[in-house]
Amino acid sequence: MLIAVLKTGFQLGPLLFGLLFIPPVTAQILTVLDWTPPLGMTPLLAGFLLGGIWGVYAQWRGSWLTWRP
Amino acid sequence: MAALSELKSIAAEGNKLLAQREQNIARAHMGGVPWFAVAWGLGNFAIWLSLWPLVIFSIVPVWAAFPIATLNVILCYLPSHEAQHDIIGRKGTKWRWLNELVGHVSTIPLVLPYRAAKLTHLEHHKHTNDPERDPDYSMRANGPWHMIWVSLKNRQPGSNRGLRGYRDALIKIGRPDVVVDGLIYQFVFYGILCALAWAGFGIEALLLWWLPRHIGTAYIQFFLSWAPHHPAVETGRYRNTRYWRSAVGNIASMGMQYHIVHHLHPSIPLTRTPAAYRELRPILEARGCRLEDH
Repeated sequence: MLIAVLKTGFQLGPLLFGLLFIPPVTAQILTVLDWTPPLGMTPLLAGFLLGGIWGVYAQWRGSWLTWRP
Repeated sequence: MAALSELKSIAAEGNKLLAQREQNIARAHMGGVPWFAVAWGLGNFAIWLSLWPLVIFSIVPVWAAFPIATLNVILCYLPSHEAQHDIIGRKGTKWRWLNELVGHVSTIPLVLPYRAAKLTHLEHHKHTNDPERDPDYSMRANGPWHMIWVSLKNRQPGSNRGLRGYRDALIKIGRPDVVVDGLIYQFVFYGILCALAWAGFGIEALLLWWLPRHIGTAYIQFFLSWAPHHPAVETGRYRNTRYWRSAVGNIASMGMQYHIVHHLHPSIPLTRTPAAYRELRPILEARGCRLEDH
């Protein structure tokens, strides 16, 4: 059971990283830089947008950087 | 015909003598506990660990801790490498527990489980440069910049090369149980990163662990996997690695200029490989080894 959970987590790694790590880090960086996101977004929402899109891309393509893994 | 047979016999005798001389020199450099590697492995881990409270309680600024953490990750692999070869303490000896402690603890900043590192590394030694059986073969690259790109590409989620290829290597050698170590390490690593980020320490997590780990992985793969074996086309005891002169010197390349000594005699501690090399050099020349002084 535990191994199955770990394997699933590993398989969804990019998506989880994009939604669980990138948003709060982005929000913290934006706050430190005193930079306001456009369209009235909060720093955390901007982080979710960035992490969500990038995470979905990495999950889909198998790479954060390139079209092919 | 008799002359040919005699020549073969002389060659065999010469070969035997050369092998004996090589063994004698190598043995003289083995033995004892490499306390420097022990202090290095445990001390390096302690410094990396101490950075966390120092940064979180604003005693040390994160920008100053970042290069230290990066150095810690770069330095964390080699003490474990000594343990992987049982150099600190062989099975059944009184220092075995220390060997295993250093092996397990020192690579925590790198998020590399000891058992997986050891088994795959021993496979690398057995099958160096074999495209099918060397777990590190996928670090092969055309040049230094290409190698950094290969290292980055191998770390992408869809890749089954580099560290991500260790899973297949472990299954191939009949140790799928050790794959679980890697899954647990990854789960704990990303769990801690996410927890820190949501607790308001995301930049700290990024600069003390996530980014140093990526830089450290590239650095270690560059100097341990790629440079000593490049171009990684030959197999065989005396040709699958080389002596080479690093542009950044032996210390910055983590002692890997003398990697040929390590492959020939993995029980020689890292700090003794330069001296062993100097003594072995005439034998290595006679064996036709790759000794690239320039």
